[in-house]
Amino acid sequence: MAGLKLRGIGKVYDGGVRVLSGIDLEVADGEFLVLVGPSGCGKSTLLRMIAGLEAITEGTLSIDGRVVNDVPPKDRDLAMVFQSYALYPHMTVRENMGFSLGIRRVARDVIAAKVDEAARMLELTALLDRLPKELSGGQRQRVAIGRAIVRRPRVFLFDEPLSNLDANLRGQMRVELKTLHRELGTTMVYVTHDQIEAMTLADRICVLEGGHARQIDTPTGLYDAPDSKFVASFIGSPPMNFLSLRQHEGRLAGDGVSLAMPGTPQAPSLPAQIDVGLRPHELGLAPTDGGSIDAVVDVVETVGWDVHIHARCGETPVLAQVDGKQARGLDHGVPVRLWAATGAAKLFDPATGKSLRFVGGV
Amino acid sequence: MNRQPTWLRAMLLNLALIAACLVTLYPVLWVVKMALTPSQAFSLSPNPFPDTFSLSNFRDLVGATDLAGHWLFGRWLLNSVIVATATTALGVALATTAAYAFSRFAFPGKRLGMTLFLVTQMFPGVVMAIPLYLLLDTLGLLDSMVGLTLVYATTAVPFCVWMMKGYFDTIPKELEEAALMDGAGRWTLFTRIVLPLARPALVVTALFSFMTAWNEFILAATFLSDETSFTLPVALQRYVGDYSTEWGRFAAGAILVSTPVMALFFALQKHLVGGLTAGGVKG
Repeated sequence: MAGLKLRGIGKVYDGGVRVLSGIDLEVADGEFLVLVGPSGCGKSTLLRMIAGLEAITEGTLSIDGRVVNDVPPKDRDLAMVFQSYALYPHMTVRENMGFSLGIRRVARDVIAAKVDEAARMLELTALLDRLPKELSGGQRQRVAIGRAIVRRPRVFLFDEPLSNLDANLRGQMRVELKTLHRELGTTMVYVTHDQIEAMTLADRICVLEGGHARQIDTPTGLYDAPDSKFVASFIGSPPMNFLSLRQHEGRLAGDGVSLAMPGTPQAPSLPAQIDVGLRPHELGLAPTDGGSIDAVVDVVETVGWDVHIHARCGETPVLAQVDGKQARGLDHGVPVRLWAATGAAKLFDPATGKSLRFVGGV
Repeated sequence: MNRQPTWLRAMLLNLALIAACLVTLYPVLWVVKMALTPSQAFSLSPNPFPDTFSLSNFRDLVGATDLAGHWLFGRWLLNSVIVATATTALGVALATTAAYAFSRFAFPGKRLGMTLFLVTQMFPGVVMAIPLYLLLDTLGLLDSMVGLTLVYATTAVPFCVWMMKGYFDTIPKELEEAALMDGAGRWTLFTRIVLPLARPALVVTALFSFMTAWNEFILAATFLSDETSFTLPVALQRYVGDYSTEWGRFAAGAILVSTPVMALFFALQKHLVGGLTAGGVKG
């Protein structure tokens, strides 16, 4: 087990294309860190640089305090689970899982015992003598994880391991991964584009965008106090609503909108126009002290106990997630007033996308 | 859709295949007939089935001796086997390693190298006969199995490299990355992951190298002059004389030469089918 330390990590390809810059990141021993971001943000490249599959062109990477920039993958003692599973097609599950130990010339009976133990943990015992092509997608993914844990490496790396599975299986595997992390206590670095996976699995999340680390925080930290409009919009499902409002007599106003300021701004002055973010579950039909948004209903989706009201405030789409019982009688074309509590709104500078902080609020 | 009934389709398909088989087999049957007929004349009868059955041609061929009474057929067979096996071993060893480098590594001259390999395939081997003769003469490798093996391996390697590179390109890189993460070095992942997966291509490449060496006549006839160093195709040619051709013995020889290649084909055909990589990587 080991911690990772990334200092000023950057990646420029031979042709001069830059995909990562100035990544500073520390992963504590035993931590579950998720790298999340939209496709093309450099998250997989960063993981592959940690793995040693891509050269580090800037900065330093240390594992357990030792700089490993030029250490080949086989000597880094990390294990990786690939999106495509990458099982060796000509080997049985048993041989796949024992391969890494075989290379290290571990005694046969020790390998057998370790493979059996890992197979038990992942419920693969019955499949040990099958070939990868005889397994379902979920089983293959399990074998890929099994192959990684057999060796008890210092760090596990996961590259979108669940994105080839169907939704049900994905949910199940998420729980299993979380359990596995608790049982093994090994440092894990996990790449995904799926913010729900990130939120549910991570001890801490690093949000990447355009090759930069935008914010590194716990899931709740990111959710409650996003640094930027990008992070606010990326984290949370359904995604945050954004309205472009102006300051008017100490409130935030727009056509049919009047919301209370979340507190006293930290900065001496606020920009005239402000991007205001409100999470769908923070909008309700019951009057509150924080103000309201007048909108017209587009579509009402019944999800389960709650309903999603897709409405329009002028041209801006607004989504409210409310208790189904309150939403009776709402249908396409019906005007609706959506209420928000004071402090629910997150304010962003439209020029920089940075969060505007408030005293008394967050 | 009004598709043809399946039995009709099957019947038409089979008829076509039977017709193709007849066309292909007719000359072969003729050769068999000639081999089994004791007379050395060129049979002009359209009937492809032998009306006599005699193994005398095979006996003559297999029992051939030189003036000093040395058994020649054994030497020829041994020469052919040695040259073909050595060519295969050398050709495959060089071609797989070279093809892997061409497939996976970036280095200056990569494209040029592959193109040059292709260019060598544009010229028939005969063009090279005289330069190669001079070369082998200088090296003292005329009438030598080593010399012939070198020449054959040289001609086989370019094709084999192209063949193997094409196959290596289809092996997902992630399998190799997985092996690297599992702690394998380059050599381990080449021998334990890449080569087993490339088995269909390896078999084709080996078979091609073997056949190149086994069947080749012109260069062998040019470089070999001592009767005891002949390979089978060169030896066979002795039965086609200036004034008369011993067709019966020639046909018997043709059958003996082609049998091992056919046997190899049958033995290896299941490996010629690809699809080994199925299942390892999604998609």
